[in-house]
Amino acid sequence: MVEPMFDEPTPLYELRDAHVRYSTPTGLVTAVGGVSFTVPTGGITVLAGPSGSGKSTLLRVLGLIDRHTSGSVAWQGRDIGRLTHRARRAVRRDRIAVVFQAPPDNLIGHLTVAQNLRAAAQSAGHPDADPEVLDWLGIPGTGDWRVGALSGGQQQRLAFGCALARRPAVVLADEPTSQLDAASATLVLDVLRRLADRGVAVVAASHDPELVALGDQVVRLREGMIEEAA
Amino acid sequence: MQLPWRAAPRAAVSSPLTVLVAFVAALLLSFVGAAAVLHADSAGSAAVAYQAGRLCGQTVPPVVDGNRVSVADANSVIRLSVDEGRKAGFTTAIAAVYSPVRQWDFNGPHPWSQFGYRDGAMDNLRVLEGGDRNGVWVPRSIADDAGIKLGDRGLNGTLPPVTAIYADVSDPVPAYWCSEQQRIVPNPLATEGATAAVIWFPTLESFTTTMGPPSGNAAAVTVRFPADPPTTTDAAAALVTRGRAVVDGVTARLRAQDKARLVIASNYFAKPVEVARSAGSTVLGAVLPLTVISLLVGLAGVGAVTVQWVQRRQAELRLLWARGAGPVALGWRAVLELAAPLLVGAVAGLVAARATLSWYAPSTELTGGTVGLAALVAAGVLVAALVVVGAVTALRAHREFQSGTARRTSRAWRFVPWELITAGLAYLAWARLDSTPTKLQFGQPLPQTADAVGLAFPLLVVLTVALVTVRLTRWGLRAAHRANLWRFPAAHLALRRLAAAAGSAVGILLVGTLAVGTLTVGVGVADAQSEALDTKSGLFVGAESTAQIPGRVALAGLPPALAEHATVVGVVKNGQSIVLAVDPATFARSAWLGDRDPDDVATQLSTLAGPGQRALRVGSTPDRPVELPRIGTVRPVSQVPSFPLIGTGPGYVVSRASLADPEDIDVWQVWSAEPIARLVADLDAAGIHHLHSRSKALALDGLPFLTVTWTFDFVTALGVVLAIVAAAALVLAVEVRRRQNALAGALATRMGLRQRTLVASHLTELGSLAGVSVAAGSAAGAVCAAVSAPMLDPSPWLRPVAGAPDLVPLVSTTTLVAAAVVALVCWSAVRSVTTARVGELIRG
Repeated sequence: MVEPMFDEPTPLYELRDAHVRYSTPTGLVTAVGGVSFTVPTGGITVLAGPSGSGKSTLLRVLGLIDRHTSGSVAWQGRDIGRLTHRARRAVRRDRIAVVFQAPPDNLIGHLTVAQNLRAAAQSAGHPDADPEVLDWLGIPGTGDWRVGALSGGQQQRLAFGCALARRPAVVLADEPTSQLDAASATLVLDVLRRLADRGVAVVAASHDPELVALGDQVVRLREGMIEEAA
Repeated sequence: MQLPWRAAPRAAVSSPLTVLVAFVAALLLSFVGAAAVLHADSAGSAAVAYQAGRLCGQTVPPVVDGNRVSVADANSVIRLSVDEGRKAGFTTAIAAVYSPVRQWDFNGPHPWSQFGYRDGAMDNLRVLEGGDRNGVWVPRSIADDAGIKLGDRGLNGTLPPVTAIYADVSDPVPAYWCSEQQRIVPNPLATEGATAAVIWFPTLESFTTTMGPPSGNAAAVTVRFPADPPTTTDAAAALVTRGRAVVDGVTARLRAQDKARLVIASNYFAKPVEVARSAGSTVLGAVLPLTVISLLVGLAGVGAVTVQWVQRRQAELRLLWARGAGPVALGWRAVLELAAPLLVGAVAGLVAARATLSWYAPSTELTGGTVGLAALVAAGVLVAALVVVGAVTALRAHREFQSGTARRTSRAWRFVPWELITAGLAYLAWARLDSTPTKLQFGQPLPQTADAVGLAFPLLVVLTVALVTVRLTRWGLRAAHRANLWRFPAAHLALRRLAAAAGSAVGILLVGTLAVGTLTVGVGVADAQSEALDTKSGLFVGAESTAQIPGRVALAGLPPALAEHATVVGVVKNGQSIVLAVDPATFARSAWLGDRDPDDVATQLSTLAGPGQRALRVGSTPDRPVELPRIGTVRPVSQVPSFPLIGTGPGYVVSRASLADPEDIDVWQVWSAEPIARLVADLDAAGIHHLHSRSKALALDGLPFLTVTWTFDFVTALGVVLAIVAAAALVLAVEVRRRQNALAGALATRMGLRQRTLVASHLTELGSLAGVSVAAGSAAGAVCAAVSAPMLDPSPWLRPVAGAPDLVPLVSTTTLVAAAVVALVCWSAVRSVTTARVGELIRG
């Protein structure tokens, strides 16, 4: 059990002996084998570990995209294993933003930059994104651009802009810098930091040392188990 | 509505191939649904037109006929009939009254004749002498026999003077006279005094005044109500309804006068209308199974397009899902994007179905509201397609994102023994077809077994064969990884590509086999019925056209104009047996011989010449000398299974020259290879009296054959649609894997794969799919057509029964078209490899 580093009465997530198993043609595979830790309502939590350690799987469980198979995972005190599909969708819609690994996967290709921000905001029930967000992301004046005109780094920053537009309680980012060059990755890390500074909890799965170093809490995974938490 | 949904219609532009395929799928779906409705209604219209065409046009509307009435009563019947006709909307009436046939006095001579009046008669006679309309008009035959001249007055001078000599009306009569043919064209074979040509009065009043007392109660009256022939079942039904009003009105009024027994008021077209409606519903019922199968295939195609769309939009759907959208919302997102191409496609399909009606339907005439109904069906199909799009997307989203059970259900479908189910249904259809053999009762114009279940038999067999082919192919591809064919790199590569895309491969195979099979069975059965009708008609009549002529003319020989295309045949009927006395020199070129070589027939007939009376025996007749009535003893010299006019029944053919006494022959006919109009014109020109003319085209009631033919013509049309789907699926299957194939192929060629091997591998891959489809479909279709054709023959009592058609040209054409499609798609696949830039492909 990893103790929370922040003094919060109710953590955002609380995992107790959580397991995730997959059925494959060769048999049952345990992707996450009994992890317990909490995620505070603010700061950056990094799930670190090599490929196949279960960090992306764990991130999908936290994003209410996949289900854990045993143990318990609580969202703000509620066991998400007991939530209906509708309730899970409601939590995803209102409280969670997910940023996938590949920049294009986080954006709608046939919409412009501004439309992507507006679509993200509308998906959480907000009329539009903050007009200053493009400046904040470092891509001013690109509102009318097709997202295909942006570089990979710009697209990933826009993805975090979209996440911010949804005004979530937590942003879950899966390997957000893995497909970017060093300069772009630095800009993305800056965005992550500033998101956390705005009070949004950030949970990132990564083996990028710079991102791991950015974490307020780091949970190191190996073969589906917690190797070390700091 | 949120932005991704609001912008969905415009998003379609980003994937033109998906838009195109969705458009084509909706077009074909809508076309099939709408065409089925239009075709069935068109079959009803064609049945109406066919039956109206076989009837005299004046007997399609109601008719009033009376025999043995007084002239006064005849006048009364005419007045009230015209009145009732007017009430029912028949603004024109043609009334006629005839005296009895007698040897009326004409200044001494007493020729057999009758007097008459008919509205407009003098406008429809060919005047030879005179022409003034104030006197009576005498036919040439009576004028010649009795020596009547212009100005003569018959009946002891009480008749108006003769003011015209007209040409006798001969068989076949012009349309105006068709309902009066039996009355005005004398039959020389009838009892003396039973028939005679007519001496026409100029007005009804003059006839009534003059002929009232002499006719007594033996006059005849006819009233006709000419109307445009109906072209649709609704128009025909309306005509019959109006006719019923006339019949009921005339009958009621005559009954009130206690004179109902004087006339018979009839509505002959009522039954044909029932038959036409029945034909329409029979065709609809018969094409329904394949139509439904085609629609299901089309909807499956829409489902496949949607799966492609889901794969293409996977990232966006996952993003929307992660943002809280549910499966239904994602399904709606798909509907919004694909609705426009589906809608445009459905409209185009409806328009195409209407515009190409003449290509696939037996008539272009449609009852009111049919196009509206077809539009409703097209709309229903569109809605179904949209539901499929939404449901497939929602289901895939649910499986992939929500429940994580992707592919389990789709695997479960594979374990359902579809082929056993369809085979069972095919057996039930066959049992139904077999247990109720097609027997056409006289007066019953439709085949009893032309129902949906019976006619579905060939289609269900084709479907079963297609499913078995698919099952075996799926098993084969699953086991293909064990095959090591590297000694034949092209075959190995083709096999690996097929196994890697097994889903697409078996889908194409299913539609392809179904397409070729339905095409083959459709063409096969339709051709078999057409050929059967042609053969039966030909054997039934004996030649393209025939007419009975006087014996003296037959024995004297035909004039040169007729001899060019006609021959003289003597006919003696003796119970079931028919004996023909033919002219071996001219018979083979004038009679209907079907697919027999005229030279062979001429050679065979030439053996009839020679010592003794030789005969050709037909059917199951004894191979020994026999005594034939009016012919004498004949010695059979050879045998044929069937012969014109005799058919497959028992009979003999002798040479006319060998007849001991030709005058003993009952009937002499002239048989012509030309249509009836030419034969009659030549006979008239030669001044040869003739009657009982028959035409091969009208000899038999072909409606039962046509009903089966129309049904399978539509099956053929559906086969064409399925073939287009199969070809499009082949193109699409290659296109959606273009990038993957291009990368793999480009890398393989850079590693030493020869261009020739690459081409051969693609040809093997695509050719095997097309080849198996063509082989399995053609075999199933040909066997089914051969088995079904005799069972679907609506007149098996009239030999020969419909048999297996010659499908070699169709199968050859199908093979060539399939080869062309394979070559085209192969060229496209190879080109994508040869023009690929590997670096870009890998980086992309």
